[in-house]
Amino acid sequence: MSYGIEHTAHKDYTGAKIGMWLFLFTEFFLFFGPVLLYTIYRFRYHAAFTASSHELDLAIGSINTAILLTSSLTMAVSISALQRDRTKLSLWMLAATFVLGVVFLINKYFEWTEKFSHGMYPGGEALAGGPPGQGVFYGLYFFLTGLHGLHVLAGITAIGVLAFMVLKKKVSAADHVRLENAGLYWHLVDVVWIYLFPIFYLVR
Amino acid sequence: MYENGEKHYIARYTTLVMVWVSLIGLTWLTVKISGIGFGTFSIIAPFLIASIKAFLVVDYFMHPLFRKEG
Repeated sequence: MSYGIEHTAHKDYTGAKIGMWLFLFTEFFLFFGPVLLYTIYRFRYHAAFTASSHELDLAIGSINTAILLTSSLTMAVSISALQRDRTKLSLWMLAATFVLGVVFLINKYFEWTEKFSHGMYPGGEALAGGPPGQGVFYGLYFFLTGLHGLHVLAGITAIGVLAFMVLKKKVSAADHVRLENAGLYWHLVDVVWIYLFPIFYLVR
Repeated sequence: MYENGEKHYIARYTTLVMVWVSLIGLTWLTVKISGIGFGTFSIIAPFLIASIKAFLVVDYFMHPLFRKEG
């Protein structure tokens, strides 16, 4: 006599979403600390912060903002498309999101290296000779945009993995929570940038 | 399939695109008014606009669990 044990796949949609939201809250606090530092130092070194903000390229900052906002749209459309069982559209939108994320990082690379070439990096000669407020501004700028850049990198990696899973039908209209959670992460990265943009580029 | 056969909210493409248009519009506005220098408001305005943008992204793109439709 034999007994068969039947395993039914256990999927907890709400639980998966709540888990992701909890993680996003920890991410929020990760960025909140340095932003608090920024606020305090902005009052102390008002003039130096305004002057340093003018040295950043507002055009690249604005373009990168538009790029991330657009990538959030393509991500949201990708999820909506997958839920409607339009796998092909969903994959194209994921590809667009991925490319936009890469373009964002390329722009950031050029922006950083331009500053580096002028000796403007933490510990660099240009900042060491400048007013203390300038050093603090650029310290926070490189830390926060660097931390954000790492999140963009993690985000595009997740999007790449998810695209593969959609292609292999491991993520589909019937089971789409993983794509939704990757989307939540990507939108959080966008929200963080929405605040970093005025913090560094617009306080002039 | 998920347990209980829950119905999941599916965002309309047109809603998503309209939200994106608003986000780009607000970005244009915040860049346009930056550096005008109208006192305290020039510090508050960018963060006010950023908060509206963040709200749009969270409410329409991230669609919190407690939201049932729209």
